[in-house]
Amino acid sequence: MIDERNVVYLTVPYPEASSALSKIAHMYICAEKVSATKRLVKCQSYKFGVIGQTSKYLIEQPDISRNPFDRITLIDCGKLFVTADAIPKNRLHKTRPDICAELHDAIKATLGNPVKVKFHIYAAR
Amino acid sequence: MHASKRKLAITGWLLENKPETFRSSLRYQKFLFFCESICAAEGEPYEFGGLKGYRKGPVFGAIWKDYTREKDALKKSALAAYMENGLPVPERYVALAEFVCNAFTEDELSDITHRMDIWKAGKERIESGEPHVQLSASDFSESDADLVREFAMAFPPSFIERKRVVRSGGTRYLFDAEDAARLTESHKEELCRLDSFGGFENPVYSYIDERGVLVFD
Repeated sequence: MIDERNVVYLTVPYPEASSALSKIAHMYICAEKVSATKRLVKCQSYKFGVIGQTSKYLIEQPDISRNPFDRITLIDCGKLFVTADAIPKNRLHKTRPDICAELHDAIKATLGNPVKVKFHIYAAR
Repeated sequence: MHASKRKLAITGWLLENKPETFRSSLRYQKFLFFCESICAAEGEPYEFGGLKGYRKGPVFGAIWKDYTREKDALKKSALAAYMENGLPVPERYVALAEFVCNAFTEDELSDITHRMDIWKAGKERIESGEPHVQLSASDFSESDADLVREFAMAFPPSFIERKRVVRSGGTRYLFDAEDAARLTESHKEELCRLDSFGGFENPVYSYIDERGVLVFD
């Protein structure tokens, strides 16, 4: 099971579930956890033009003392993914399993209060 | 030559370092336009003189004449200007402009320039049928500067140094140089298949994992 501040990294076969040679990577940060319910925000590499696609976001530079990112990353706080499914520890980011408390606070502040839930997801098994 | 010494020297850098970008007149013009735009956004001297708005975006008229009428002489003069006086703008700006021109398709590059106020100032006349209109540096806005600053944020110098653009149809995959060198024929076929599937936005951040599987971000 994962906890608040954990960063999980999932890869999903692409474009079909049967694809063996290509995958899409997804990275999420556990922003909040209440009993088994986890609220996750999605991270993606900062790309040209991406800012116009989301209203609430944080941009984070790679910094091992704060995050596991290896490139400039956009944390999309305009969407919240919710799941009660168990996310196994082997999904934790290998470089660093979590973000620092300061960045976690910044994410929560950007999400706002009360938090609006956008999507329910099922954890990749 | 109709081109200025500045444009010739920038072109000389391109011919020395990335000659393939010179081969497409559209990408070459976008490269020059982005160079000047980055300089303008970063407070460096810039040169928008002779810039005209065409349907596909801004074009430096003097360079266009040289490119279409005297390409070999243009190449010779450009290399001589670069060898003699070096680059008149910081190299990281020209490297950034060139990288952008490779990370997107020609249509996407036109779309980017169509979002800029300096081109939009002539848009109505261009769309009403005038083949080209004069564009003015005074229409280069703060919003235009922000747009090109986004290039610098998305593609910092260390990133440009490390990445290679792998083209497959209309898709531009960005791999680390080592991964690009490891691409097998099967990988290339898969990149081509994914291009025809059409689910990506350029550029596509890509790598090869420890099992040899292509991973896209």
